[in-house]
Amino acid sequence: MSKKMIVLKSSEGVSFVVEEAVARQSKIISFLVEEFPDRELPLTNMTSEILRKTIEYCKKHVVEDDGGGDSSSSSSGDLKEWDVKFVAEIDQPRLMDLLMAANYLDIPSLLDVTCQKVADTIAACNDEKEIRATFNIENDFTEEEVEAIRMENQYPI
Amino acid sequence: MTKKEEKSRNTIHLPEDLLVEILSRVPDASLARFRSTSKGLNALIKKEGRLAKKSLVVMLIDYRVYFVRLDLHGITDENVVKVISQFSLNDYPLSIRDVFHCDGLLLCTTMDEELVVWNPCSGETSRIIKPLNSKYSSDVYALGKSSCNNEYKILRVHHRGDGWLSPCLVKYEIYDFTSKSWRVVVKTVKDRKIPYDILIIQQRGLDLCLFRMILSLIILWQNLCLLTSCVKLLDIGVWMATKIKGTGDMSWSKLLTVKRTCSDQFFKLCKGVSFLADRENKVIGHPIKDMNFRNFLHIVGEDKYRKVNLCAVGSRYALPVSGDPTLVQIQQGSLGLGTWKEPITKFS
Repeated sequence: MSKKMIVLKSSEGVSFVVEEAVARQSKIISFLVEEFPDRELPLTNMTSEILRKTIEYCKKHVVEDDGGGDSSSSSSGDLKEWDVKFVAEIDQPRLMDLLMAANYLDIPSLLDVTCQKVADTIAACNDEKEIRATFNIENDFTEEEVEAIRMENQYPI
Repeated sequence: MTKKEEKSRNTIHLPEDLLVEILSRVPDASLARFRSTSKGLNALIKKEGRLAKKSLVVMLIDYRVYFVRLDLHGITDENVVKVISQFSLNDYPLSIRDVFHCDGLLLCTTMDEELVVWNPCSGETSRIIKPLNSKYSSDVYALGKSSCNNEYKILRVHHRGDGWLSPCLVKYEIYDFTSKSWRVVVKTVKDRKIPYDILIIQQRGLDLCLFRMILSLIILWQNLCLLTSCVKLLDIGVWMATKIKGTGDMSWSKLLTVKRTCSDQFFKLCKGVSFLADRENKVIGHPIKDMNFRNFLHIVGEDKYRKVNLCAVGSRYALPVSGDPTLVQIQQGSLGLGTWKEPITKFS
């Protein structure tokens, strides 16, 4: 039996042909496929690059879900490892875009791994300057204000 | 890339709910650093209740269990810590002597010598078969969960003798919810006449095994793991899990060592139920009650110690139980499935 395919279109107008089962991991696409069968789905706020990454993630996860019934523990461990590698290879700005895409398309597991990756990145920063540099945050504090917050954070002992 | 495009990729331009989701996964120390990055982020962290949840503690007030949120940075000159919010779980009919908790599931010893596991969300209770020679005023209990298979266990530490004037016999027992029985895992003698080094050499395998077991059992709020263990006969080492991965692996780092110079400080720490930890400043805080059942916040550092009054604790401030999302729902029958497997722990 041939698998049902659907077409997703990025903001640049590039079409991606994807198995329906793969795309259905997005709750939004799942809903749209039922409402508008046999239609191309335009994802105007997603670039081809991010859409490609998202599909790559969904493909990996749908395959593992298919065969995962009996060999659950090892394959879920492998999948976790794959996820870690997947987000490790993406640079900071693209990770943000992917996180937004996961949120927009409503793919909870992808949102979870991307949020965790950002949290880990924050945790790895040694001071506020490093956080600002990593996330491109503009400093609108004076030195005194930063010092005041530092004092607030001290344990009262 | 234009300037505008670059800016849109800042973390700060994420929707607020996503930012809160990310920050709720960040350790306390990093969150504190994040506050001083910009005014907008500082304001968000200050106003977001979910990010302040780390100051939530479990307390006993008048034999009833309360969840209390404290304002640790607002300790006044009169040595009083402000209670931001609290709610009482006052539907439990028995008077509670001590409470131990894990994920919102409570283990209570009652004034009439019962041992009960209580889920305050569902109201479900389960009476535990008492261990031999149970003496709740001196026994120490811990309710914990194996992080690899989600199984609840109870650890009981039973002391006989004080270890100073006479040798102290210590017995560690584990309660299994499946077989509904207690099992003695370790029996050991603590005696100040035996030098520490010899004790360890003689029992190295045993001690490490025991140490690891306690590590995996005393698991506290929000994946913050804290435990006490007698590193030296005279000191308590407080360890903290730095990471709990999905596989159940944990990395442990030592937060601080509490010296037994002040016996008050030492024993109160042993009796602690709910802890707040600050990794950066190497201090932990926990609520205690004194002989007259008055409540204090006990703050302990390497060589620092402070007792602060807890105020505004009264039933008129009580909030409804259903209001707190940090309590987990425990499904009936989820207690103790399968067999106990020790999580892999790593010391650094």
